[in-house]
Amino acid sequence: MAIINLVGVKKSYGKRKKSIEVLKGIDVCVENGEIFGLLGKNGAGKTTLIKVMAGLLIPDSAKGKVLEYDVIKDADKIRASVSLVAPTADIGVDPVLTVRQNLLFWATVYGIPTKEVNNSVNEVMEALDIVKFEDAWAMEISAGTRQRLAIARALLVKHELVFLDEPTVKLDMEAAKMIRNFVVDLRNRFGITFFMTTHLIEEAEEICDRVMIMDNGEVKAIGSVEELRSTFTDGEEIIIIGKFDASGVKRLERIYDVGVSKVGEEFKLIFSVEKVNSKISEIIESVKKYGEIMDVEIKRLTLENIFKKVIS
Amino acid sequence: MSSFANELRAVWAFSKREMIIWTSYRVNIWTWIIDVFINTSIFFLISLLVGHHSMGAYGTNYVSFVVIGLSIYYISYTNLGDPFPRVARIYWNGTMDLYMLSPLSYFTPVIGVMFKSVIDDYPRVGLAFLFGWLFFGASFAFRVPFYVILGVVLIGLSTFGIGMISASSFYLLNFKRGSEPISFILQDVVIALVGGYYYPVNVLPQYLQILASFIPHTYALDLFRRALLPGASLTQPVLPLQYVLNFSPIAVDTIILVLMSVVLFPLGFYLYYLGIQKARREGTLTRWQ
Repeated sequence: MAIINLVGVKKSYGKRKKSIEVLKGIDVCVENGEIFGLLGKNGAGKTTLIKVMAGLLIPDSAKGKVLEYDVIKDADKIRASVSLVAPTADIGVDPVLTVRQNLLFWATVYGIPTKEVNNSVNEVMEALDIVKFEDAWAMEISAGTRQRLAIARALLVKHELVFLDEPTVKLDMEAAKMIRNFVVDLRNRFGITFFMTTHLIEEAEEICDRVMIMDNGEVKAIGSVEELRSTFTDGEEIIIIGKFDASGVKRLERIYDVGVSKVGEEFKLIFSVEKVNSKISEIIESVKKYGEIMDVEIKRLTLENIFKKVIS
Repeated sequence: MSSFANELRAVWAFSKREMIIWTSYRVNIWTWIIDVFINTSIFFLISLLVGHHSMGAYGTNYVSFVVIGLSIYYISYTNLGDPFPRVARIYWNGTMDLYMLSPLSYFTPVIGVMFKSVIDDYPRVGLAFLFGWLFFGASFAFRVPFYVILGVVLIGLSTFGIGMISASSFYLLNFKRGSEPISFILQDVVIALVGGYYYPVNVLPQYLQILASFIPHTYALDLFRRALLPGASLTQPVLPLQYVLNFSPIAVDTIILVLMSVVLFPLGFYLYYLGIQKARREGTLTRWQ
C-alpha cells in the first residue's frame, strides 16, 4: 500500500519574472515500510519535495495523498502525523539541556500523554543506543550521537512516516554507518517508512529499497538499484584469470563475447554479458573445463555510474 | 486529553525548558538582581533632586511614580519587544519546521519561547516594587484592586498584540536581517518619548499628548498611578480623552485599554498566521543549515 502517492508536484520560488521552477511536475509513490532514497545534486529540488510532502510548503499544484491525507487540503494533519530529521543534528537539540531533557521537552511538544512520556523517552533512547548519554549535555556529545538524538526525537511519536534530510551529511564514516544500521533496524522492527535524501550514493545503494534520481526539478529515474542497473546498463563484465588450455580458450571465444590477453602462462578472459547474475555460473563451469581458475572479478554498473549517466 | 490542554502542557514544557536554561547560567541571577537594583536606585537619586514636588493628580512621591513607570516598561519591553526576536531565534536556529511538524497550533511555540522573556522580565516588576519600598521610600496604596488586576491583564494583552504584529513582520514583510521598524518606532521612539514612564504625560506639548493617546501605555500608567499612588486623584482628568469623556478617569483608562486589547490582540495573531502562511508558500519558514 502506498504511503505517499503524489502526482504533478510543481513548485516555483520568486516572483513572476524572476520565478525559478524548482519542481516541474514530480510524480512519486512510496510504499509502506520502504526505505526510499532521493538522490540529486545540490539544487535538484530534494528538500523542496520533502517540505511539500511533509506539509511544510504549499505547492503551486499537486494531487494525491501523504498517509491518508490530501497533500494540499490536509497539510495540517500531515504535519501532525510525520516526523523529520533535518540535515544538521543541532536543529531541535538544545545544547544546554541533557539528552533526556531534550527528549522530555519534545515528547510534550508532540502531545505524548504525561503518563507515557517517560516510557516513550526510554524506549527511543534504547532503540538508538543513547541511554548511556542520557544525563550528558547535548553540547558535550559527539556529532554522531547528536544525530542519533535527533532521530530519537523524530521517533518519539511513532509516526509511520519519517523524513530524513541528508541524515549522515556531517558525520564521519563510522558514525554514518551506525546511523544507516539504525535506520534499517528501525524499519525492520517497527515497520517505519523512511524517505531520505542523500548525497552519498553508496548510502542509497546500501540501505534503500528504491531510489529516485532528481535533476533540475525533474525525476530522471526511479526504481530499485537492480531495476536501474538493468535500465541503464550497457552490459557488465566477468573477468577470469587463470592457466588454461589454448584450444579451450579458442573454443570459448567462439561461444562467448570474450576478450583474451595473455601474460606469461596466465590468460585474462574478459566476458561481456548483459547481466552477470544470469551468466556467471554457466561461464565459470565452461572455463573450468579448460584449466585452473586463479581469480574472478565482476564489473557491474554501480549506482554511482547510473547517477552520472542519468544526470549527464 | 483535549487539544487545548495539550497546548497548555506544551507552553509549560517551553517555560520549564527556558527556566532550566536560564538557571544553568547562575551568574544570570546575580546580574539580573543588580540590574533591577541599579535601575531603581537611579530613579531614587533623581527623586532626591526632584524632592517631594507635586505631580498633580499623581501625588508627590516620585520614586513610587517611577517604580510604576519601570514596571510597565518591563512588561512592555517583554510583550512588545520580544516576540520578534523570539520568532527570529526560532527561524535562525532552524526549529520552526520542527514545531510546525507537531500537533501544536501556529502560536503555541511563540507563546512558549516568550517564557524566556517572562521569566527574565516579569519578576523585575516585583523587585522594582520591593527595592523601591525597602530602600528608596516608595509607598503604595491599593485603593481599587479590581482595576489594577484588570489593568495588568489589559496592558499585557494589548502590548502582546502589538508584539505579535511586530513578530508577524518577520515573515509578512520579510524583516529577517537585524531589527524591524514596528517595535523600534513604537518602543524606542514613540513610547520612550510619550509613554510617560518617567514623567506625567501632561507635561508634554499638546500634540505629543495627542500622540500619547494612541498607545496603551498612557492609559495603563494613568490607571496604575491613580490606583496605587498615595494621594493620587481618582477624579481629576489628566489625559486628553479624560477631558473629552466626562466620567471617571480610571473608567476611561479601562475602556480604552479594553478597546485596544480587543483590536490589537486578535490582529497580532491574525497577522502572524498570515505571515506563517506566506512563509509556507515561499518556503521561508526556517533556515536549514
